[in-house]
Amino acid sequence: MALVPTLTLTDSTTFSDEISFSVTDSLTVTAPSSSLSTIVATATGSQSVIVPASTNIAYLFVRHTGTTDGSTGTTRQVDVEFTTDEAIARLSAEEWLFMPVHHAEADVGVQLHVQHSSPSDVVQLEYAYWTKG
Amino acid sequence: MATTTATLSLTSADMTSDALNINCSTQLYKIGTTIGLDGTTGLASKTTTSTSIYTIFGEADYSDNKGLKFFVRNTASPNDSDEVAYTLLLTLGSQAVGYLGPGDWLFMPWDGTDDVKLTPSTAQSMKSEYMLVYEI
Repeated sequence: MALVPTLTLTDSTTFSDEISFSVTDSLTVTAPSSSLSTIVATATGSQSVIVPASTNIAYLFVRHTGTTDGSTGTTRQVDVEFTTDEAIARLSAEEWLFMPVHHAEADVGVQLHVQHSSPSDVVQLEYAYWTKG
Repeated sequence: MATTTATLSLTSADMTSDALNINCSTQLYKIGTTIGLDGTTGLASKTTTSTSIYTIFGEADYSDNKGLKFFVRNTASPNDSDEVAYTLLLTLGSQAVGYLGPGDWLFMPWDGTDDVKLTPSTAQSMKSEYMLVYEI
């Protein structure tokens, strides 16, 4: 089974030298996996585990929707982190990442953690993952 | 204001009964604004012949918790060798967070608080490409 990711970066005006490149790949993937899903993350990371504990490598896509529920806007940042609370990246509104996640030392998963202490601060995100074959 | 645009497409025709076709695009802004990022390292590359870890972006060179986004690619071909694993381990500070097989790449935000480092899996010649777009 093949997953084909393509990244395009463009900018023709900010810098003297235009940024314009595209890269693609063909990734062999296997189960377990999760196609595009939505989740409402909270300030408690353990409530929003998106990749179950494993020593496998997982191709992970996460996108901050910029909303709490699909329509109400929020600018709260969200940490993408291992279930051992070690940070991977911090997403602001509308940002996304795509990466092959690998802890290298432990049987851990990936969770989402809203950067605010109030339980009422939530963020809706989209995510998907596929295990490297 | 000029901005850099990052677009991701994820497709698959055979992974599940439902064909996958994800597309998303984002403008790369300074944190908390709609002002485009104004710094870039340009697309750099490094060829290595050892398994020593090396830094591609130093945390001391950039402000913490600003708009920083980076791209890294392992340029090895999946067909380079069936016997040598041409892989790169991505580390933030001392914490491994990613693993790039031949041809794999990633694009992600960075908070600028830890060095971004790569460790080749082999002393055979292999090349990485990397680029940072950042907030000045």
